[in-house]
Amino acid sequence: MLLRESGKFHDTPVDMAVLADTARDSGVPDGGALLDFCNALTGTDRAALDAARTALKNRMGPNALFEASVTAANFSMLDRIANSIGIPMEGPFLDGSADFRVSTGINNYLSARNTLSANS
Amino acid sequence: MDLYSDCGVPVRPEVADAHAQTLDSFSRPGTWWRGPERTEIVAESRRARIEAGLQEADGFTDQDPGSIADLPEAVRRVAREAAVSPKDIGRDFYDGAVPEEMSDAEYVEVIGVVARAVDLDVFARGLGLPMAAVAAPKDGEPSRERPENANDDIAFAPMIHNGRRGGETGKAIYGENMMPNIIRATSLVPDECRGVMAIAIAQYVPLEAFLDMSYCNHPSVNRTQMELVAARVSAINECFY
Repeated sequence: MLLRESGKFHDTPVDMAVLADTARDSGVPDGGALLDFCNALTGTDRAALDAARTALKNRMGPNALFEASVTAANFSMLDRIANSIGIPMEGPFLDGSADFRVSTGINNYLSARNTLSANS
Repeated sequence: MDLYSDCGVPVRPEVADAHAQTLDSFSRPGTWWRGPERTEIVAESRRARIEAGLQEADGFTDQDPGSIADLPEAVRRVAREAAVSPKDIGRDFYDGAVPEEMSDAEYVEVIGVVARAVDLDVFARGLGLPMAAVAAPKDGEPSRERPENANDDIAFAPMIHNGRRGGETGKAIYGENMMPNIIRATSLVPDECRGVMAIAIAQYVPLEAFLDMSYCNHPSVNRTQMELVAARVSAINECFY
């Protein structure tokens, strides 16, 4: 939800479907380079990661490479905690994401049960 | 000289400090696990990610088999799954470990240690750096202190409530803030909760700026670009939260 809200703030409407299909144009400036980096960083192809890292650094600069890496690291930590402890999403965030959770398949995640089963 | 002083990329000092403190915490006695056990939990997480191809082995030196801490197989199983495949963890996985093979608090500490270790390892991988070394384990016994008022039962493991219901322990961890569930998730082990908060605040956004969409840590990446990275990583991990 913060992705869409921040996009509104910056006058860059975000295509939320890009979360499931990264071949789409997210609408976010340099979004393609950021998504390629995320996909490679969480994948198993080292050459692809090296290429994505270089492309991101060349396009957005070394500070951006740091910020992308540290943000990906942060959510790698938080996602593991959220799924492993089974926390539900708070109501306001749940309401604000209802429209795109179905279309992007988010409601089908195993971790969705921690919230949706409690609200059904 | 800080942890990343010669890495060739500008690392914010508060992140370098938080990572150094995190590494130090792994080798010290925790609340339920000893230093050698916590160090071995990190090592098991790293072995699993290397074997899965999710992490290069650079920087990882496995211990002499004779000196590896004795760790219950169930703890290794939990550590490996959390490190490699968080999308596959649900209620059944938790119930398969707790309480038969470990207590709820022991489980939470394992998850906290693995999650923080993966954080540092993903960061290193992002920058093309070797994994940061964990110091030799320190002697000492875990505190084994369970907070009395960890009785919010909305998740698999109990958590400490926000506000008055959290009592003095809640106030000591959260201050006067109303914390989101993701911050409260590891509060059954208050030291893990503090560790997660410290690293998350340094890396992402200060609590007071959470809903400030103009906030950014560096002008090269605005909040929308940060959130795109956050959302895509969470989609890959199939994290509904």
